[in-house]
Amino acid sequence: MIMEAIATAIQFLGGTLPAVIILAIVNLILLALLIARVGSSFRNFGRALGSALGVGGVVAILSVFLLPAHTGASWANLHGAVDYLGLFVISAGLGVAAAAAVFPPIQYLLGMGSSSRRQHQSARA
Amino acid sequence: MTDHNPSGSEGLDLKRLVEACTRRDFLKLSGMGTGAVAAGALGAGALLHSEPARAVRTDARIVIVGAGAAGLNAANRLRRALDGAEITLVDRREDHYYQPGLTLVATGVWPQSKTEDRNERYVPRGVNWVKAMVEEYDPENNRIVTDEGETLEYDYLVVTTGLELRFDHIEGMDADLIGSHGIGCVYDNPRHAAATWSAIDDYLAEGGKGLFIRPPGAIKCAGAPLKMTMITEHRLRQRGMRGNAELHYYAPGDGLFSQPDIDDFLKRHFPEERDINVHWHHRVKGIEPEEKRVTFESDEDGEYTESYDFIHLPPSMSAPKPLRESELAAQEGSHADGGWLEVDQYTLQHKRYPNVFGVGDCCGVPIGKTSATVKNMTPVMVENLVQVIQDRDPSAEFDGYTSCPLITEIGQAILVEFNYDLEMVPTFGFISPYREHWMAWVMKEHLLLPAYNAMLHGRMS
Repeated sequence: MIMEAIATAIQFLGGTLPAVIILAIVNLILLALLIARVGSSFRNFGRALGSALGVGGVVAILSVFLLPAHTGASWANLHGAVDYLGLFVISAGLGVAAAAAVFPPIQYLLGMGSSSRRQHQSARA
Repeated sequence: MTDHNPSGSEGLDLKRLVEACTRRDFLKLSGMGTGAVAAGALGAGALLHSEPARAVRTDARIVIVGAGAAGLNAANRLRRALDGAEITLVDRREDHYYQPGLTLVATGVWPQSKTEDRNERYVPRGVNWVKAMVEEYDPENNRIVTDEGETLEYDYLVVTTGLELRFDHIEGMDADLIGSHGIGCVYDNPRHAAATWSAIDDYLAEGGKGLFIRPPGAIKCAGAPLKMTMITEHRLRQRGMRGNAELHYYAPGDGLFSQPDIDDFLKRHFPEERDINVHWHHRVKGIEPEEKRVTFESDEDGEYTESYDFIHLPPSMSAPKPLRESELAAQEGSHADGGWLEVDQYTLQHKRYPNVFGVGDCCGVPIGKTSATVKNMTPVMVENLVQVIQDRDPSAEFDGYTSCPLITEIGQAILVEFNYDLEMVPTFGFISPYREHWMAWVMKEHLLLPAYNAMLHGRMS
């Protein structure tokens, strides 16, 4: 079942798969640089995580309201708990994916900014 | 069990045919994060190019006739299951059509291009692709002859030809008429489906009398005529034209759907909730396109003519001519009329030629001329063929699984899955197979095509 899901996911992503893989690789490189403290660090982790979760939350909320119409359906086509639960699960999944995608660059930028400030303050002292 | 016979055919076997789809697992997709996707892609990339752990060594010559969903799936699976086999795929067609999507094209939901693909993307390396059509089967001598005059000998034959639309069974009808004179037909290819949408679009603007035909006998995607009727009715409501249209559905027998619970639902739903008039025991004899008139043969009313503004007119279907006129076709019983391949419905092995197997629409089995059926048939056939190659008796059994996302209107569907016993066998227990759901629509519109493509690669079971 897992392999079937992966095979289906690859087909689902289709032409966007290379872009997704590139994004994932860039994010992994950014995470590696953060761990190695090259050019940035995990300072302001809380702010970075909060910002990423904020982006994810916005995406999830927008998805809840836009997904039915995006599929050509109306709210009247959602019947019972299964459909609403499905809508929330899909939206949450999209939100988590969005948060995961933006966290590394946000963390890198915020970590880099504080690092530069410290270096500037050290130079003045 | 109550006898439901939407096909109007005499044999029990010919009354249980439903539409295509495959199993799905979209909740996994919805939760994918970027990293998981990348990891999955990398893992699956290796998987897609891996050799089987225990491929069976053989120098058998295997010929697969037909490069549709069943043929490509079989070629990929046999390629991985066997080491050293000489596998030949015979089919001239280079275009591949995602037929389960044709209802969406024919109702204006999808563009035609979304259902068009190329076979070369799915033919595995190491498989010899002969671009010709089979003209003659000679099972006594283990060979086939192509229309190019080439003779191909085999040790094992896999027949996956699909079926033939018999427009010649309707007087005055021709496939080229689809899209003109108010004639539509969802079957066959994306071009016809798009032409059907053109005809429906005109009908939605003008209104009038719309006739929807379910042809007699075994047909593929047997839910498609029902879906075309219901979606057209929905489109009329969307355009504010429902009051200007009257809709009629003509069934050859006394049922609408082979699964009894869904049949009961539709028998209430059509007249009571959709204001669609259902006419039983009707078969189309002929059509006069210029006059927009159709002639019916009715058990109750005899032969009579009806006018229309739009008619959805799929023809009856049979095995392709070379197959139905060959020794491989059923010689007697309910599958003989259509010339369907005479296979055991469980093992998919030919009943008289044990080195011949079949998968897909061409098979004479009780239900399931759908790609969902192909998905479940193919692993069974491959397992049994490998066992026969190893001089063992075939032991794998196909349970008749078939599936139909029965779209009742754009945005919702009933996800119907059942087997030879007409028992519901839902893949996801939390989605009721007895009521409409948006989730079923999401699966149909967004996830079944990628699952289908994965199946062509032999990656779905």
